[in-house]
Amino acid sequence: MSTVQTSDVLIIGAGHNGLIAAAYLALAGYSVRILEGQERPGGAAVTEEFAPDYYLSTCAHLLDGWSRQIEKDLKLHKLDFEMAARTTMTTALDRDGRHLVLPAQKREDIQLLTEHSSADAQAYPAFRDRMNRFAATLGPLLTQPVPMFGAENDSAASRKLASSLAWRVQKMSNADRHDWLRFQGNSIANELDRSFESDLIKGAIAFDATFSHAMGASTPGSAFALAYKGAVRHNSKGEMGNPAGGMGAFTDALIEAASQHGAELHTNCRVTKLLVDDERIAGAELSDGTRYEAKVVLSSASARTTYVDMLGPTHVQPAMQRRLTRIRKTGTVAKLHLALEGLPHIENCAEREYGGRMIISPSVAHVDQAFAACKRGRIPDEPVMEVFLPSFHDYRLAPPGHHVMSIIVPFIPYEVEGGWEAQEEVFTKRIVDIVSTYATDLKLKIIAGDTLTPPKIEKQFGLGEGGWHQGDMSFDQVFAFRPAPGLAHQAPVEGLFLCGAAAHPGGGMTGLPGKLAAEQALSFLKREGKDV
Amino acid sequence: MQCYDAIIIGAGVNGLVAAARLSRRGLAVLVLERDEQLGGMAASKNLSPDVISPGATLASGYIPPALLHELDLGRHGLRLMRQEGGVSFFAGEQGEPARYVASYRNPLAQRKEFARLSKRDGDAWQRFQRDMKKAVAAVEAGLLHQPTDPMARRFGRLKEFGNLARQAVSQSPEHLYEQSKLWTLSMDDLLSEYFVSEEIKAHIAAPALVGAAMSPLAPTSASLLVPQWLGHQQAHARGMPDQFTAMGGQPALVKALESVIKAHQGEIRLEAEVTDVRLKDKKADGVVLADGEEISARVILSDLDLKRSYLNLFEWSSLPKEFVEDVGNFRMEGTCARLNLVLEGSLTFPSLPRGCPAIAGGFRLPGSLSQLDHAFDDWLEKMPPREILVDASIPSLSDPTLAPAGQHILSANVQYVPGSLNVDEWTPARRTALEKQIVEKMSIASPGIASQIVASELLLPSDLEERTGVTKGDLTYGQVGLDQMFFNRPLPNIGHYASPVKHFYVCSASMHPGPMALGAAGSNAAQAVLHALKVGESA
Repeated sequence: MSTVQTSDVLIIGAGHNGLIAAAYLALAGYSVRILEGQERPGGAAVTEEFAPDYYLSTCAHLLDGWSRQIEKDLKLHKLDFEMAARTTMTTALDRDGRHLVLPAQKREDIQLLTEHSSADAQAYPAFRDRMNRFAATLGPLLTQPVPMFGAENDSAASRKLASSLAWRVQKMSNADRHDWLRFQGNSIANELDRSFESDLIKGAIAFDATFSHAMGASTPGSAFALAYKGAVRHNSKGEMGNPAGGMGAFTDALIEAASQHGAELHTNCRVTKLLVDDERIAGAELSDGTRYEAKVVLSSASARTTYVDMLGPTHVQPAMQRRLTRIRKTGTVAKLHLALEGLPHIENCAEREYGGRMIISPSVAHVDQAFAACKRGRIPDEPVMEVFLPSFHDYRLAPPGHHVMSIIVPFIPYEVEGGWEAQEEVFTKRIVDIVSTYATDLKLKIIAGDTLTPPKIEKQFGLGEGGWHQGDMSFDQVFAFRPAPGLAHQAPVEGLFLCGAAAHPGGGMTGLPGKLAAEQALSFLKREGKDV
Repeated sequence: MQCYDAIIIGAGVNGLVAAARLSRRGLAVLVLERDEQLGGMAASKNLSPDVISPGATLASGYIPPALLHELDLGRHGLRLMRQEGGVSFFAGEQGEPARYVASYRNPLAQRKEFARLSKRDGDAWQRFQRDMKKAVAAVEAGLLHQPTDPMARRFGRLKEFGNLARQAVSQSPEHLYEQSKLWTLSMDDLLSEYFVSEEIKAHIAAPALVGAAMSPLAPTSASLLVPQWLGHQQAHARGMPDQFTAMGGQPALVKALESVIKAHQGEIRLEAEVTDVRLKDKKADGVVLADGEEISARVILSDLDLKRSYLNLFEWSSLPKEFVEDVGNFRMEGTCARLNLVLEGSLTFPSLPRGCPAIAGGFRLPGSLSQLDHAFDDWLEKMPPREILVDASIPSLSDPTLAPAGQHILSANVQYVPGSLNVDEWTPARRTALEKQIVEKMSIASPGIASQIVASELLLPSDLEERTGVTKGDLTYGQVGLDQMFFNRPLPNIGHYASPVKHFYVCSASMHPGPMALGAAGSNAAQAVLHALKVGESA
C-alpha cells in the first residue's frame, strides 16, 4: 500500500548541505520535507560517543571554508551555535621538534622557517601572498552560481560574472598572471620545487593540496587543487571553525534553523525512485512504496545516484549515463579516534599549536608514495595524516583533564590487499606508531580507540566508496563541468536540483552547494508561481 | 674580420632548419657543431662495422608540410614515405601465443582490427579519429606561429579579455567540454570515453608517452596524443594517423637540410664547440670557441636546450636574476633509455598474420595503462624499472641501406628509466640486467630475438646527455606538460622567441612547439630573426 504526502519542496539527504538548503527554502515560506535514509541526520557532520564519555566528530572534524554568510542568513548564533575556536592554525610537525606553522603570517613563524632553510624563510612570504592573490581572483566564483552557459543564455548575470573575472585577472600583476598560466596545469611538487628547498614545508603544502583528492603531489593539476582550496578558504577568510560540541552541534543548529520555519525531517526514509510527470519532477518514492509529492526536489546524493539510480534511464541519455558513471572519485580516507587520559606531549609544541590541526607529512615523496600505495590497494608504509585534538578547546568532549584525538589519514584504499578485516589492526598500529614518534607518551595515555576504514565510513555516513566529495574537485570536474559537462545547470528533468557536494562549488564544509541550490530552487518556484 | 649575419650554435634538425631558412633569404650564415657530424640528436653513430645506428630521437617524425615546401627539400633529395602504424604485443596467458593490436592505413582494415578485440571499439574508432582530427586542427595551424600570450597586458586589453570570457560563456558546456577535454583529461579517461578494450587503449597511448614524464593516468596526459594526429589532414588518410616522414629517417632529413644550406652559400663547421656568447653593451655580437677563436655575427641562434643555452653560454651575472632562476626551474627530465640492436637474419613475429604491413611501423610492448602508471611511480621514486614500455622500430625494414644484407637494426625507446637511482647507481650489472629485461620483453613479440643479436648498445638518459648534450637526456627538450606548452613554452613570459639578451635566440625544441613537430621551432626562431633584421619577404 502506498501513501501520498505533499509539500512544496522535498530534500533528499539531511547532510549539512541538504539542511542548509532546507533552511533557506523554509525561511522563504515554502513547505519543506527532508528525507534522510540513515537513522541519524547530519551526514558527514556528526558527533558520536566513540567510547564511554568520549565524544568526537567522527567524520569531518573541522568547518574548513565554512561560509559566514550562511551563518548570518540562518541566524545560527541565536540557536546556541558557537565555535569553540574559530581560527584553527595548521602546524607541520617535525621529528626534531622544529615545527612549522602554516600559513605563516607572523614574523616569529617565518623565523621558525629559517631553522629549516633561510632561503625558504625568504621565499615563503612571496609564495603565501601569491597564493592569496590567486585565491582572491578565484574565490568570488565559488559563492555564486556557475553562469548560465550557451548563447541563448547570455544573461546579464553571466556577462557581469565574465567582466568581473576579467577585471580581477587584469588587476593581477604581469608576473602573477604568467605564474597563474603555468601554475594551473602544473603539479604542486613542481611548483614547490621552484620556491622551496626544505622537505618539511614542501611536504606540508603538498599534503594540503592533495588532501582528499585522488592525486599525488606529482600529479598535474595538484597545483590547481591547492589554488581551489585557497579560494574556498578565502571565502571564510581563512577560518577553520571548531564547533563547540563537535560537528553534531553544528548539525543540530542547522536542523533547528530549518524546523523553526516549518521544515519536517524524516529519518530512515531511503528514497529509491524519483517521480516524474511530463518531464517535470513530481516527487520521490521510498523503498517501502511511500510516495512524497513535491514541486521541487533537491538531492544531496551524488549525481550518479540521483540521475542514474533514482531517475533512471528513461530520462538520462546513454551517453550522459556513461559520463556520470565515469565521474572521477575523490581520494579515500580512513580515520582513527583516540581517547586519551591527558594531553600527549609533543616536543616544542606551543599551546596554540595543540589546539590546531597538525600535519604529519615529512616530504613530497611521502605524499607521492602514499598515493602510489593507495592506488594499488596497499596501506602506505608511512602514511601522511592530519591530527586534531578537538577537546583542547572544547571541554564538552571528554572528562576533565582527558582528551580526544581525531586523526584523518588520506590515501587509504577502499579495497585493501588482504582485506580490511585483517588489515584494520595493522593500519591502527601503524598510525599510532607514527604519531608516537612525535607525541612520545601517546601510547601510555591511550584509553580507548576506534578505527574507521573507508568501507566503514561508507557504511556509517553513506559516502559512496568512502569518497567524501562526490567527484574529485580537479579542473575537469569543477565550475561548468560539475557534476559532469552538460549537467552543471540543468538536471535532466525540470524542478530537480543537486544540492550536495556533487554541485558547484563542490565538497567540503562550505555549505555553499546547499545555499546555491536553494537559490536556484527559489527562483524556479517563483517563476512557476508566476506562470500559474 | 668577417662578420656573419647569423651564427647557429648546434646542428640539430632545428638549428639546420633555422640556418636553411636564413640562408635562403640571403643571409650569411655559419653553423657551428661541436660533434664531428651533423644532426645533434639525429646524428647516427657506427654501431658495428657496416652498421649505422639511428640517432636518439623520438618516434614522432612529423614535418610540417609548409616547411618542406618552403625549404624545397624535395629538390635537395628528401623523399617522403608514409609511416606505418605499428603493432602492439601483449603477453599471452600461460603458453598462449602473444596477443596483438595492429594499426593499418586502410580504414576498413583498421576498423576490422579493432572490432576483432571488441565490436564496440571498431565503431568507436570512427568517432575517435573524427574528434581527434577536429581537436588538433587548431594546434596544427599554430605550429609555425608564435603562440599568443593570453595574459599580455595591452592597452584596451581588458575589453578584449572580457569579450573572450564572454565568448567562452556563450558556448554550450557540451562544446566547451569537447574543446577542453584533450587538455584536461588523463589519457586513460579520454580513451575510455571511446574504447573498452584495455589493449586498444594501451596501443594508442604507448607511442604518445615516450619521452614524457607523465603517467597515462595523470590529468592532462591526454594532450600527449596530439602529435600523433598532426599532418592527418594533409595526408588525406582515414586509417591510423599516418604521417609522412623522411625516408631514411632523420639522417636523410639532415642531409637534405645541409644541401639547402650549402646551396645558399651557408657555411658549416664541424668540431667547433662554442663556449661563450660574446656580449657587447649587453647585446650578443659573437661567439667564442673552445680554442679561443672569436667569430662575430649580427644575431646568434642556439639549438641547445634552454638550460644549456643560457646557463652554459653566458655569465649568469649578465642575465636578469629572476630569469636565471626561471631557466633553472625549466623542467627537463630524462625518462627514456634507448637500446640499439644489430640483428642477424630477419625478425619473426609468429603471432602476427603473414605479411602484416603494420610491422614496418615498429612494435611496442606497452602492458596495460595501469602497469604504465605503476612504472611511472617507480620512476618518480628513482627505482630501476620493474615494468617497462618498449617502443621499437626497425628502420632497416623500410630502408635496407641502413644495414648490410641479412642484417637488421632495431632501436627501441624504453620508458620509464630514471637518469639516476635513489639508492644505488647504474652499475654495469644493473645495465646488463636492464638490457636483459628489455630483450626478454621484446621476445614476447619475437621469441627468437635474443639469439639474433650481433651487437647492442644501451643508452641510459645519462648517456644520451653525454652524447647529445641535452640536459638530463630529455628527448623532449623540456617536459611537455600544460605548464610548458604553447604560450607557457619555454617560460610563460618569454614564449616569444625573444630573450633577455638582444640578438640572441633559442631555436631548439625547448621553444614552441617543442617536440610536436620536426623543425618547427627552428623555423619559428628564423622567422623572429627575419622580423628583427627586417628582412623583407622578397629577399
